[in-house]
Amino acid sequence: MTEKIRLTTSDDQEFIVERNIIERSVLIKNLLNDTGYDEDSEAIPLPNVRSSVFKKVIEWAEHHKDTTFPDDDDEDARKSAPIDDWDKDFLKVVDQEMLYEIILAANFLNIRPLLDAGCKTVAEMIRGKSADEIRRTFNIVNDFSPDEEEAIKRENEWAEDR
Amino acid sequence: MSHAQGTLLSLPIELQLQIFQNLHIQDLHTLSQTCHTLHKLINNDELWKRLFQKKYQTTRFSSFSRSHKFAIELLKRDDNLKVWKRGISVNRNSPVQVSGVHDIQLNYPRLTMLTDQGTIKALALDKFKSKTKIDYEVPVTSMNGCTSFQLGEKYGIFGRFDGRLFLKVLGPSKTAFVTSVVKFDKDHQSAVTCVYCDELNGVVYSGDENG
Repeated sequence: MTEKIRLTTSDDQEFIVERNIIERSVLIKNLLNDTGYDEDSEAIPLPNVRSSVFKKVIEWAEHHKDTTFPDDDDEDARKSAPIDDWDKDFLKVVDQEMLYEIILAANFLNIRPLLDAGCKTVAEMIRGKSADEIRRTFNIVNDFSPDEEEAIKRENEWAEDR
Repeated sequence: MSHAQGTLLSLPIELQLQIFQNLHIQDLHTLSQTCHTLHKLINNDELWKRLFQKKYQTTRFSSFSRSHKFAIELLKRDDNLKVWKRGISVNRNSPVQVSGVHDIQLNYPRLTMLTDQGTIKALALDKFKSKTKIDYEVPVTSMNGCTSFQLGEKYGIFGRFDGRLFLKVLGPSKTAFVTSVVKFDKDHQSAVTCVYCDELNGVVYSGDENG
């Protein structure tokens, strides 16, 4: 029998999740190991994760319940690995705001593989774009004066042929 | 500066850095042209330090570019690698993985590497076959802050940042390295930048930062 863990999100929604699934979160895993959780314990509060975001995190964790990820300490393997195909599709369908919230939640909950996938997805959205396209994609306001813009372009010119 | 919720720039800096670490130099330059905030972040050496670390698995470098900036060092090294690869035919990649190489010395057919851990690894290049393994490893004591070294057949000489010189006699290859480190009686006033040993005459020359 797998143990069930109760958690409440910032909008007071209660979730009941299997322990081995929620333990993808190193934060929760350590918390459970340190405090000893049983059925009578209060639900674990997640004050900065909204229920809609948490649902996505759980969906991800459920899909990956049997996946072995590269070791946390193995920075190299973690960073050079391409995004898992399922993760790519999973993160592609959410809007940008949700994507950032998933990244924030993964960071807070300490779920390295999800955080990495999120960061790589955003990087993918930047890659190969022009400055204007990046501004449009990310709603960035160009706050350079024409002179400054010219100066920065020149400063980067030497790098253009790389 | 505050940014609207749910945008890239509203993410904590730490997370923005983690995202940008996945980008290539060209994309980072483009990104720095979009607005003041990103220009500042991308021109910060912290990002470049991480990129450097990712590529070279170390944050220590015996400044190839004569700069303390990771950004400049990284670019210079990239450039030079390209030139180097185009120039002479580097047609063999050593299958040997050595992390944190601090210094390297080629004395054909032997290639010696000083690693961050203070060990010396040697490769026999002429013995390159399908499978290459590290010829031997020399655990070295007092190697912290080694700035320069030279290895001969039977000895290793190390200069340190504090101006001290050490000699270690190496046993016949592959057997134990019996002797301990010997300190020379003559020290330098500042970091030792080069050492050279004239084996025939048994004289050691060394130079320091002050010449």
